[in-house]
Amino acid sequence: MNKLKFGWIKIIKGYLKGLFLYGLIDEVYAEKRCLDHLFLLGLFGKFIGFPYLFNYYHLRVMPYQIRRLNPWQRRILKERDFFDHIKD
Amino acid sequence: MNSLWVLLWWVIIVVLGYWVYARHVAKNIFEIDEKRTTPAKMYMDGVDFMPANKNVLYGFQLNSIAGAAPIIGPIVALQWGWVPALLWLGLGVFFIGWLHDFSSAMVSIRNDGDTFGALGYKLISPRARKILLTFIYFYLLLIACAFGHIITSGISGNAALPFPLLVVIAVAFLVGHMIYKARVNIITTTIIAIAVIFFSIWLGTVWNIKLSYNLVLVCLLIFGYFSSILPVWRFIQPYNYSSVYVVYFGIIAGVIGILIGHKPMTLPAFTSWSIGMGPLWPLLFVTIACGAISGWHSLVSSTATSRQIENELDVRPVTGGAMFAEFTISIIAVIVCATAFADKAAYIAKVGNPVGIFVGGLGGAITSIGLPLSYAKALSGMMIIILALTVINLVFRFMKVATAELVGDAMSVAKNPHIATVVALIITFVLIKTGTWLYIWVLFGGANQLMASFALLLVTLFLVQKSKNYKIAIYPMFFMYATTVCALFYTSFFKLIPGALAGKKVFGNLFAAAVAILLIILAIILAYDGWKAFKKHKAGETAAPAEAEKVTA
Repeated sequence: MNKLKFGWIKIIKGYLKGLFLYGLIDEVYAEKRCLDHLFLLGLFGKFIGFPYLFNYYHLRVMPYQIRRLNPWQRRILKERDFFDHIKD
Repeated sequence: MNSLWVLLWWVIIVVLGYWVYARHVAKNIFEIDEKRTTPAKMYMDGVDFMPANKNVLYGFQLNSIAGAAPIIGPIVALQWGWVPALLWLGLGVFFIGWLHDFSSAMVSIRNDGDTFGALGYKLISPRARKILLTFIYFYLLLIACAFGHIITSGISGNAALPFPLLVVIAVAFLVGHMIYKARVNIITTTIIAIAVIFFSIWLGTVWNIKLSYNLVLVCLLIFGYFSSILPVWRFIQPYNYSSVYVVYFGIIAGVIGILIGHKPMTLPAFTSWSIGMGPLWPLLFVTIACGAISGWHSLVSSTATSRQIENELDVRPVTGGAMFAEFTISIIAVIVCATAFADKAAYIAKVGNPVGIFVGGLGGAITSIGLPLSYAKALSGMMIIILALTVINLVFRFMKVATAELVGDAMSVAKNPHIATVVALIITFVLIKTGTWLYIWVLFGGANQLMASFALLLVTLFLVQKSKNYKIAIYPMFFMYATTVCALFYTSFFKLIPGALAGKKVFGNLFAAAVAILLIILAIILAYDGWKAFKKHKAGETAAPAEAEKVTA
């Protein structure tokens, strides 16, 4: 009974979050995307001729961030047209 | 007849449509597989592709698709009587509406989250993307004009609305600053915003401000300019967030009011096969767009939702469920308006101002829960104007991007956001000032439904390519295509052009007719390309043209 009750509360919470808050959350993600672009460009930019600014810190951070290279590359190289902006 | 009987029709459609027909299509035709990886999981990047819980997505989808159109369309269509409106709403959403939203998301999901531009390029022809883009520009223009007039006539015709609307706009800026800059707790921010907005609605009823149509129109265009230029977080997003509470409070209060009041339907059930606007077919089917079927939903489903679906099993509840919820909003609109007027003459006298009709209807229903009539009417007016402004918020922004994409390469000046926005605003101003709103509403509905038939064309081609039963999509597509092209043709050649030749609103009518004819030409070109692609896919040839293959590679 309790499980059922809390299940409903969870559903309603999720629904209200989507209805009222998801747009705001999405906006925060969009802001994060801009900062991410800058950060990853600084980190992996050497591959496309963007000079390293701080060699030591790059090497320290690189092993932790290398797994983000593929998704970032895919996102940057993805062709975006008008229809993609509808989400924005 | 008592209005509660209409709710029985609603129950039948939702139960059979969602739990029987939709389940059958999802399981047997699209072969939903919970183990298949969705693009949200496969390409998760935390931004565009990001899996989300189905309940959250459902709320998001409903918020994205439900605007003022599911309310305004049925209000205007009551001229034919409430039985045709209810029949089309029910049968439209049952056979076409939910399927359109659901299958648009499914096609995108099965194609790595591609948008309609890319899908059109791959499935129809390379020029399909450009045609769709041109089509969408004029579709947006018609949206801006149709909703621009609704807002302008609504505000200028109701002196209780200008003050609370100014407060809502000020609150939006405040909320944006509090959330994103000052980092104030969201619950505190929300409580302050809601309290100020609801208090301002009351204040508006005692402090009336009468504004002229022209002044409101200019203010609206300035509003459109800033919403197009400012960053989304600065205005659009906080505006949508803080004002949506008024809308949902209005809907809930209206539903409770209908249940308590259960008034009889006073407008005639059926008036005539042909009225001043034109014959029932095709015009009723484009006058009621959202609520039955809307092309806008396919854009939302294929760009945002499809990239956030965690599991294929979630597609039906998210897209189909949201469509049936929008159908519910339209049903409420029909009931509140069909019970609000003593006779047809009182309704017809107000048909050029749908906000006035809605305010009278919903305002009356809300009084059943104990709110004073003046407050209930102001609340209903705010609700519909807020919904329409939400649309205006986005339209000029999209038009700005579409201008840059369409002519940006040929004219670099079109890439300037200020110039692109101002051009869109000027065209909108001219069409609102010189056009006939009822016909522009029909053209908007026609463009919207035509977009839906393009989406169904893509779905048909996808099903053909995968050797699945494509008949569930091709028949609705034929129906929507024929209906919308005929509606555009009828309105331009039997209403707009004769009106202009008779000396009535010459420029506006000719301009609107030219837009309608352009949309018909684009539809014919796309249908020709679609037919060629259909034959190709049917014969089992490669789906994508050579250039597309190269680009994909």
